Amino acid sequence: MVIGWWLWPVTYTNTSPSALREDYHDEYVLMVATAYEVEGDREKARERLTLLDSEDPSAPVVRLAQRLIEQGGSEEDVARLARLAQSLDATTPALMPYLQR
Amino acid sequence: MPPSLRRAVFTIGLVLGLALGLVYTWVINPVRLTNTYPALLRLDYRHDWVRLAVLSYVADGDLERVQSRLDSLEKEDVSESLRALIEEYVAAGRSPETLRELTTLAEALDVNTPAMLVYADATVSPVPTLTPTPLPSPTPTSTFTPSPTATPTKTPTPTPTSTPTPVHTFTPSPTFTPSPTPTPSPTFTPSPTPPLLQRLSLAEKEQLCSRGQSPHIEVVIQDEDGGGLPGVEVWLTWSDGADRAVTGLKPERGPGYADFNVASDVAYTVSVGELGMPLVTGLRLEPCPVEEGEEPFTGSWRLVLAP
Repeated sequence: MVIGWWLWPVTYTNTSPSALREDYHDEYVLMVATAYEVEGDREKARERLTLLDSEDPSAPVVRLAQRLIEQGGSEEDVARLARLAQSLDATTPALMPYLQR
Repeated sequence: MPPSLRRAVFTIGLVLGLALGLVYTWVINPVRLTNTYPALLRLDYRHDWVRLAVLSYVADGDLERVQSRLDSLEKEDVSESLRALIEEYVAAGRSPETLRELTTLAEALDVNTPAMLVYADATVSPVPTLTPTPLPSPTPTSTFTPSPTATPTKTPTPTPTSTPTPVHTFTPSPTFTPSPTPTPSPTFTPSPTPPLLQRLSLAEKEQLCSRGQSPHIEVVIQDEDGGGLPGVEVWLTWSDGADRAVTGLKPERGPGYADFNVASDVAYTVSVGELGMPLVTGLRLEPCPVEEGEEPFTGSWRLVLAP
């Protein structure tokens, strides 16, 4: 176990976005929402989000948006996430006001 | 138990224990990395990370933010992805504003690709200014001296790649003198003003079918009265290259004429002047109509751009 876990562990160099640290994970979700705004490719956005949550790709978007609202994050970022959530049919009441912006 | 058997049992036990330990720690219950960072992503995910960061820059224009997002990645990853994105967007005929944003970012990150030259403010030399030379009274010969910018200072040299690389046919000579004739030949109109270039659009697109002629794209720039405009910089860009020509350097074809040798199966974009405004996108060579039994051949294009 000492050899396998510490001295000579499995090395991960080909990781997936799901293994990203929380701050990078958030950046990834936010960038997917922003790229969706530029390219308008909903399926591509869904495909990217599936790497984070294969069962409910919209979940990371909604979670991040709600967290940003609670923490007083950038309204522009929340609006982007809200628009992506809406296109994925995952709007929540808390995100509705941001869809008007 | 004899000592030799004891040693054998010990060795087998050691090897078996080690093997079982590695199976458990590598396969059954390996170290789980949950706090990784972008540089550890698989290659395609890394490239997608760069693409996302760059597209975010296009949306918010925040250079500091994009740089921090790309910080942990190798420069090679960033260059490769950004270059691919620019080439893809140029080939797709995306809006000049978007391409300028991408070019600005590429310059900030020290990434270069021939396809972006036309959109880079600093890299495009200004449209050559043609000063009408007053005709000398005894011998009416006009001399057209392209300004130093006519020398292709930044003309991208198509590098040998697997894709067919059109070869530019004309070499702008420092001066050219129209063949002396008794009549006052080429009368150059005053230099085109930016507003005129901004108003240009595709007025005519004609397929030229002449068997045996090498495939090319002819571009004719006209003014409001239908006259040819010399000295206009015309850019031809494709996914991994760019070429430039200046109208009027083949006076026998008219003052507004320029041409490019091109290859089949390549989508071209035609832009004019330093504005970099794509006027024709997705231009490809197409086969000419032939009679039954005739050998097929590829036609060229003649584009007329006028206000």
